[in-house]
Amino acid sequence: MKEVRTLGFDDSPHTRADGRVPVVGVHMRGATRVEGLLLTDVARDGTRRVRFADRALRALAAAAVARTALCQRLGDG
Amino acid sequence: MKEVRTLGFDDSPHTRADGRVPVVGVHMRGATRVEGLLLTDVARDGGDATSRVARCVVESGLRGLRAILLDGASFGGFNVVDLDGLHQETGVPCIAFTRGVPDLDAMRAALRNVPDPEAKWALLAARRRATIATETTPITISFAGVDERGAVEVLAATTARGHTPEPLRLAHMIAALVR
Repeated sequence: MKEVRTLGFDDSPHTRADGRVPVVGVHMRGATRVEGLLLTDVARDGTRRVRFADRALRALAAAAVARTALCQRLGDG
Repeated sequence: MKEVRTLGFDDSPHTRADGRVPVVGVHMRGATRVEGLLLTDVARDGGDATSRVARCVVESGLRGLRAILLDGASFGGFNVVDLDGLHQETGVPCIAFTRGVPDLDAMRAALRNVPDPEAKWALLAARRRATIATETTPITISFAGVDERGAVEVLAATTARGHTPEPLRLAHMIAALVR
């Protein structure tokens, strides 16, 4: 499997004084090619991060479906 | 030339309302490995880009850099980088990269709207430039502390796809995010 496209997320360092914490997403192709960056934020110790992770997973699932469809099309062709 | 270590700088998008503009530096090994990130800022249309970037590089303590790459001629609008000065202050060869061929007459005219236009024009006029044809848009480089051949070698060693060196492509993306 070459050139697999992924999104990696991590949060910024933060303290108890921070209300919201930045979260950065890195869109990559394989292990070396950065295709783009995403930025969002979550409430510190909040519950929205669960919804955020859920949204991210849904986006990834949609991307996987699209990729599978594309592979099938290429296979058919 | 393998594993050449470079620093690529680009500035954040900005408006006239911004006093200072973030400038991001990406430290890379070759065209694929990010070793670290630097952050500084410059005055919009000011005159501190050379000293701010030089200080950022010197304070990073990085050794063995083959080149400093800059996206364009200036940061934060018309805060023009003195390429020779940056080379002298850091001891590292400096290469400014631009897609296309710069319209120097238009730049000179636009400089009238910012502080210290004559000194900034002198810096731009003094640059050694070369325009390199590609199969698409040509690229223009100016360089200090390295000759044209050496500069092209650095570009080749830091470019993965297309014609934009990776340190500059990444600095551009990250600078847009840190704004």
